[in-house]
Amino acid sequence: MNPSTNKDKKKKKVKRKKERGGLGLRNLTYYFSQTFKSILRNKFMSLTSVLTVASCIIIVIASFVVVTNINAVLEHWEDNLKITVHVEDDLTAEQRDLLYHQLLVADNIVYVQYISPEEALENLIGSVLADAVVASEDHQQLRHTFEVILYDTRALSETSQNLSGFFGVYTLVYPADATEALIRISNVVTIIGIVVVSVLAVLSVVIITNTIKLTVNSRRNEILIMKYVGATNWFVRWPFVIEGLLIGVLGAAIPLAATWVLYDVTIEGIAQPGGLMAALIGDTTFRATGDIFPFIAPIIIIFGAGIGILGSVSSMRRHLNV
Amino acid sequence: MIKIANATKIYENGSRGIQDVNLTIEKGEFVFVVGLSGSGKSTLIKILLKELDLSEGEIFINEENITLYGKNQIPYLRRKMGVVFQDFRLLPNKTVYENVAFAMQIADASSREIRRNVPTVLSMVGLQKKSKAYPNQLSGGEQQRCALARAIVNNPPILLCDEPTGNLDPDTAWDIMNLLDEINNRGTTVVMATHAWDIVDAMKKRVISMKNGFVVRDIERGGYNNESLD
Ligand SMILES: Nc1ncnc2c1ncn2[C@@H]1O[C@H](COP(=O)(O)OP(=O)(O)OP(=O)(O)O)[C@@H](O)[C@H]1O
Ligand SMILES: [Mg+2]
Repeated sequence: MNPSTNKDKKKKKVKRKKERGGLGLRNLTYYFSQTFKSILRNKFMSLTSVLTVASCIIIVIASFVVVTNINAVLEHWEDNLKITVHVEDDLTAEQRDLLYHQLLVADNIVYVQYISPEEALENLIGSVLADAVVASEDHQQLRHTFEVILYDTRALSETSQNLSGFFGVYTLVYPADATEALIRISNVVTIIGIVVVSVLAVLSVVIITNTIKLTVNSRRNEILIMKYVGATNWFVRWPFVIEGLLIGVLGAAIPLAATWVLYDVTIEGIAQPGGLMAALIGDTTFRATGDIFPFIAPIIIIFGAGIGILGSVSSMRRHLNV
Repeated sequence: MIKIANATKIYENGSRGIQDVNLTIEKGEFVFVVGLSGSGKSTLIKILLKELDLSEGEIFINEENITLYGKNQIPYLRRKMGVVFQDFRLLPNKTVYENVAFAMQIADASSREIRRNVPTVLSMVGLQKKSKAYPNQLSGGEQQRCALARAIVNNPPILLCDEPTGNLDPDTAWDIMNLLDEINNRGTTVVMATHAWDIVDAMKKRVISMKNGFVVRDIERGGYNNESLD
């Protein structure tokens, strides 16, 4: 050991200290080439990891799509909820007009429409009910009515109580039980949706961590040797971080693209007016592709990247303590 | 260069690795560490690498107290020390060239430095023709020469060897010993744990004998069994 080389080394050491295990260009090249070699070498495990991430994420997407569509149906139903206000027979036209204005300014009311008995009958004609109503001579059907649409369906009972006290109101007709049931279903579906998605998210992290753990265990020796030769933890870690990131992003992008296309085709095919769903339900209440996927795409990709990195790094952590 | 003071390592299960070891090894020395199986030779090497922490005592390398080093400093300590093991410990998925280059990449060498130094070291250990081979395509002796090349490519002041000839036949073992001698002659301090009494006897270097974790003998230019080890 001659003293001059020793001094040289010391100088170099000071100069380099910043870069070691860091993200200099030289290191980045190394990390990426390591990552690709490792993925190619462990083709099977890499594929398994991607598929694991993909299957977890496809379930997350599917449950989100189902929940959001159930909510869409419920919202659509709520939006179409009307209270039909039947007016006393002996009301004058002016009194009816007064009632109309009273309804307009009442709490929780969005929209009021006057329907004359003639119009009411006309609406019924052609419907299955028309003959029955006419036959039963139920004059209620031939009263003057107002159709009232509410801001907040959840305040249905308060609003109806309020309206029934107005002068000239004979009776109110609305699907009270159905609405309450609907509100309850809507609450439950939202809660179930949140629970299912969070449970699946946690579950996918666990599954992915374990899948990647197998890959990392098979490389335990490699990590050990790197540490013996003097690699910093970050030098060992970076290729695993990049690998986890790639696996996660790929595992998220594939099911995302697949469900995106599938959903689009399905909605186009069966839920549009004239389509199969339209024929069954009578109205399109499904969320449009553009209302779901562009919004969840970044979240899903970041989520995939996150669980990939988390799984990869957490499963190698204990091997670093050498 | 290396100073070990009152060093004791007791493993978690209570077995005694080394006990109250005091040693000073000067720059440029060649030191054999001998002793029966379980006498503490590997433990001594491991505490120098800081693979294990001491239970008691201190170790100084180049006057620096490495006992106080934190986890972050260990990699930099190890770059000052080449290591060679009985079982070679090469990366199986890298070629001979890549295994050696790897030690330089870790130390953040430029690719120009790598292209210059790796072939030099490989030809020094006689592996220039095998640089594209993978470890499983090499004989034991060749694998150990590759490990040796990796250990010295960054020009470490200290080279630690734990039974480097343990898996090799006598002729191959002597090839390795000649390389170690050459490395030592260039100024590198070499510490080698071994059972190979014939090598120790022939080399006439300093011999530290261990028994039950204690240093029981320390002889300049000694042999494996200068006196009985009782
Ligand atoms: N990881 C460990 N955990 C517990 N005890 C250990 C551990 N490693 C070594 N020992 C004990 O420490 C003592 C010294 O072991 P060491 O490996 O240093 O011996 P050695 O001289 O290298 O032996 P050999 O010649 O067989 O390699 C032995 O009693 C051994 O059982
Ligand atoms: Mg040993």
